Amino acid sequence: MSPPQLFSYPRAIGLLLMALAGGAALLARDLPVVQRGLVGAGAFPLLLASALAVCGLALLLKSPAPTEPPPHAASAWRLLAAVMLFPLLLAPLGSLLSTAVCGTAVARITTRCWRRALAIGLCLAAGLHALVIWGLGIPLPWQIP
Amino acid sequence: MTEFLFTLVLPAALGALLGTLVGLLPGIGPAATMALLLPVTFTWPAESALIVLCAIYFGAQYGSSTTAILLNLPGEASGVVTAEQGHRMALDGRGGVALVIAAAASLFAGLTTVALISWFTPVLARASLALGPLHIALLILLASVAVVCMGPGGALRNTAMLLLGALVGLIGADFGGGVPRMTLGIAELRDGVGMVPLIVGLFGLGEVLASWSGRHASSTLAPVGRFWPRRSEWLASAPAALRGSGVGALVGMLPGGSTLLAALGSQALERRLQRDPQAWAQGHVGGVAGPEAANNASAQTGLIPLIGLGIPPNPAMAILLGALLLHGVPPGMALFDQHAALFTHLLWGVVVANLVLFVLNVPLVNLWLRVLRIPLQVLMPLIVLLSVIGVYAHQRSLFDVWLMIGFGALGLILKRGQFALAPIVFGAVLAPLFEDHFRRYLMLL
Repeated sequence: MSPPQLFSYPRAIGLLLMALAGGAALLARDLPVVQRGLVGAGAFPLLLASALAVCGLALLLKSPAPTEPPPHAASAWRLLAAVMLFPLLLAPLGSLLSTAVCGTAVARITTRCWRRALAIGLCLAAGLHALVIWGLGIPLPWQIP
Repeated sequence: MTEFLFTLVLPAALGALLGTLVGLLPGIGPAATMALLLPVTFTWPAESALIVLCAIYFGAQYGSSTTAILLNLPGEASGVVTAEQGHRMALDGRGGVALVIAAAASLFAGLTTVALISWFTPVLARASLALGPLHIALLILLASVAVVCMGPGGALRNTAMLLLGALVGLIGADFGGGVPRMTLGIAELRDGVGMVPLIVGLFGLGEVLASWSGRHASSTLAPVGRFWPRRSEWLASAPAALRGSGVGALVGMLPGGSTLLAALGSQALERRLQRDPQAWAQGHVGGVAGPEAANNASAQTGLIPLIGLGIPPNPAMAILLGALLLHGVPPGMALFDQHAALFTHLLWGVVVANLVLFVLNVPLVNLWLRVLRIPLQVLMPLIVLLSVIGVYAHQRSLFDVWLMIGFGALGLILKRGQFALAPIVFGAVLAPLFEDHFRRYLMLL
């Protein structure tokens, strides 16, 4: 007999919302709730964080137990990791190369072929830079610093 | 004449073109596209900027019908409803008829709702002068209740999303004393979380990530077949388009009343009125004309609460509100007092955009069918890079890119859990407004 499936997205989201509400309440704890006899800067964040925590708890408790494993999301998370290459590489490589690297990494996941991914990444980086810099007149730091 | 061309026709045509494209292609929605274009339009005249952004939103409704009918794969949520009857018609060899009926119904709804907008918006704006801070706070509260009750996904989930968005909206300097709230000491957060990384993250990157599950084969296009509808088909679709326009116009004005909800309402009405189940099972023109008219009408009547009251009824209208404020145009009666010509210009822009969209979606439909042959493997990197570069170019801020990635991850998790994302944007826009007006009211006591 297989162990019961505990993970489900609604339950995980319930937990995440409770954590976010706790974080927001923690950040707002030093703000005044009442200021000069009026509603202070901390009142609304604390009120909303409490309500969000209640909603998160309700989602955690009310979501039905999953009957099947959650959908496979590995490739989506790999895509997200590939997107992070742009902000990580922008400072050392400039926007053109960091876009090309990011585009190649994303295309590698979608095409599963390095050569085609490289061609897609380079073409898209060059095309988008031409569009943004010349077409729209928005400057980008495209050169290697 | 030249001014008319540059400030009205060209922006309408550009927006219509871009809107049709994002409506056709799955992955990037109109709200994310509008958010990406917002910084570009900043240097344009206010009327041109607003017309481009509006035309993108309306164009997405038109463009979505092409993929919905021929591919059963709508690029926009509301196209799901059109796909049901439209794709059946396409499989029956009447794809071209469905396309023409969809475009004609959208055009009819577009033109009739312009008349409604021109009449009702000034009335609403004038009425808003009588509203004090408490009334506006209560109106926002009512709008929030509507978002929770009308959005897909159930009241608990929508409430949670609205509250999450409200907390995001409260990040930044407090309106009363300028105290930084929940900023973690990050200087970039003092002015609050930007709408561009929020919307592009949730509706651009998040959508792409959620829809990508290793898909490698694209669907097969149904044949276009006979193009021009018969007289009987025109006659069957005309009352459906009229009813759809009414349903859409009403739903579009309500906060949370999405184009999807309008299309669903119209479809339910048409199904109930249908006396021939056999015709419905094979694909009925009324099931295409009604929902298509409804989604276009609801997209357009969203302008009424936005301009009349300054309350955006959906995320795309929240971007439009941002555009208004960026150009120093306040919504409400002040817009009619200080920028009366802008409103007239915008309405003419909407008319021109609808006419351009009809031309783009009927005689030029074959052009769009070629676009649909772009493989998903190329399309996905294109949308991802467009989102990343667009957000970075907005303020040349790497922090905004990280924010967008964070919201993209959040969007992915929430989409996997089948949560609606629109209430997050509502919360982020409406919470600071509510707090501002409520605290003003308490000060007046």
